Amino acid sequence: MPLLSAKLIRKSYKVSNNPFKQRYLEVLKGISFTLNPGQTLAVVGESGSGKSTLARILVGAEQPDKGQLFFQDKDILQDKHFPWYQNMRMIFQNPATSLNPRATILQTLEEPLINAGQLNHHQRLERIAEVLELVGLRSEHAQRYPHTFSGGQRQRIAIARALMLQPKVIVADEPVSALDVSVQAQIINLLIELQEKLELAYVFISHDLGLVQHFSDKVLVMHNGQQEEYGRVQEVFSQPQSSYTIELLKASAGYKRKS
Amino acid sequence: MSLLQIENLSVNFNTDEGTICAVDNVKLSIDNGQVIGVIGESGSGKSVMALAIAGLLSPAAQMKADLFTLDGHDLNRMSDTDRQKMITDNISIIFQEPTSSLNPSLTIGYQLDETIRFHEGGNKSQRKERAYQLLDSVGIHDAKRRYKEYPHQLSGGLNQRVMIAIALACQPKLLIADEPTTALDVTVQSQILDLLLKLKEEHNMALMLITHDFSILSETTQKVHVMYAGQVVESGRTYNLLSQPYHPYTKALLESVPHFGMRYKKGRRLFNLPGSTPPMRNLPVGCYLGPRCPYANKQCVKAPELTGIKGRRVRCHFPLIEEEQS
Ligand SMILES: Nc1ncnc2c1ncn2[C@@H]1O[C@H](COP(=O)(O)OP(=O)(O)O)[C@@H](O)[C@H]1O
Ligand SMILES: Nc1ncnc2c1ncn2[C@@H]1O[C@H](COP(=O)(O)OP(=O)(O)O)[C@@H](O)[C@H]1O
Ligand SMILES: [Mg+2]
Ligand SMILES: [Mg+2]
Repeated sequence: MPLLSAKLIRKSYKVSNNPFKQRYLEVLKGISFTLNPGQTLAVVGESGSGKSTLARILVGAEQPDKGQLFFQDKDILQDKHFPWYQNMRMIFQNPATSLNPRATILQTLEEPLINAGQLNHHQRLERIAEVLELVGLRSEHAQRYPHTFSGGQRQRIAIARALMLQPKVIVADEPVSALDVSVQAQIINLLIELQEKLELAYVFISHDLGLVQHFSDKVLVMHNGQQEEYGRVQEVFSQPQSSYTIELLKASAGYKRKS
Repeated sequence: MSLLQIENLSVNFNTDEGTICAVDNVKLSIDNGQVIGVIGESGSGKSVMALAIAGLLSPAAQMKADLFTLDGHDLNRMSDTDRQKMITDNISIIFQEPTSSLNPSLTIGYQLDETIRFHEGGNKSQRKERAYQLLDSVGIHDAKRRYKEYPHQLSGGLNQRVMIAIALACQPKLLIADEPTTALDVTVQSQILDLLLKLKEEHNMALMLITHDFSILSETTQKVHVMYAGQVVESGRTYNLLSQPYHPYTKALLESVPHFGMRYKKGRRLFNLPGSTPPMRNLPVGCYLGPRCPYANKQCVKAPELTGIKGRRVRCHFPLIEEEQS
């Protein structure tokens, strides 16, 4: 039984407010995949291809127009009481803007625990210390504000926040694109370590095919909202079927001078 | 002959937290028609150095260079206005964000015309002809239509072509491209690089390509300078430097990115340096890489000089060349 499976997810946005001439932009044109515990699905494609829209749908921040989403075989789009927060969480590209600058790390990390209402104050502090250590920070860090941390440390804090309620799936939308390569490698290593320890499943959105190849089990290639290709990374990368995938792979193999 | 020769270029900024040295004694030379690369992580001083060379630093910046010659002229001994004219006539620069470098409220044509008027003059119809010709030379073949359009009507890749057209208007001897493809999708990136190299050949321009992506440099440049915290830490011929880095930082930059096309075992960890780039207002004592460097020892509290080793310049007490000797 897969942990998460998406079936023909579709989404359009209204792009004109004229009631006589309604125009819609189809952003997702039928996306399907399955994901097992401890697995990573990479989602790749150019900007505007619909990756972030898919991510928002996967964490319940947005409703698709059509399609189904199963979590452990439960049809969660039909379930009004599905606890999204406890099962799927998101990490964003820019840790500088995704953390509240006026809240200490403690406040940021405690918020999901308070909302879930399962732990008392003492247990919450314990959980925070435990998760900070898990992401390579120390419990003293909890008293500080986001601006006192480097970009890489802030991304660790964002990962800690996502882990507070022990989710099964993390949706990471370009989590290392804004970081320097030497720091990017630390965060990727951390994600690998957490996956091994916690059996996390990742949906990993990235435009860096080198990272995707290193880090993922499956890959979904998107182009203008279309699912161009989906399969195991080795297979898709060694025997791409769609012409768009071939073009993308060629471009990512590093720049080759024309002449 | 050297087109541009710079020695001990430094740029300081006075900030609330004291003076920072964004570019620290950089030595650099570019020959006519040569392509050189500058690589480094964000905040290492690449853009400030580029702006300094292009004469575009804000007045608040303090710049000095022991030697600064352009096309055989000593810029240090010129008046400010002569120096500025010499630079604007010979050096052009394009930036990472083409769409925000252009003025959103003016048409492409107007912005191109402004530059042409400044450099070449001519009457209205001559300038228009020249604008069409420039747009055509950067691969914009529906020039007449694009001339009337605004930046927001063009894609990022097209706007970068427009920026290149504007940069070419003065027929520069040196074009500085500051991360020209970083903000673009991969498929567009290679088109822009192809264009830059083609124009370099056609106009016999020198090109200074600033990037944080090694894979671009290996195909395009003859020489590379690696920057860290405002300093050049290693420079040399591109092929040699990439195939055998001497500086631990160069090695780390190369090894911390997984290379596309390689098969990795699931769960393999990436090489990385601990910590992150130090802020310029709070640099470590001695070697700036010291606290993050796996090879550092006591001697590294002394600042290393940039030293010539086997045709390369390296700023390290313990360059990584042992294996070669044995
Ligand atoms: N709320 C919205 N309203 C209208 N259009 C949107 C909205 N969100 C995204 N879009 C459009 O949907 C397309 C896909 O966007 P996105 O999912 O952000 O792509 P990606 O993350 O792959 O860059 C883009 O054309 C974008 O402009
Ligand atoms: N106008 C300025 N005032 C103060 N500091 C600046 C200014 N411009 C750049 N800096 C600082 O100079 C350093 C180098 O910046 P920059 O050249 O933009 O780096 P890079 O292009 O390598 O990413 C950074 O620490 C930056 O904060
Ligand atoms: Mg996105
Ligand atoms: Mg820069």
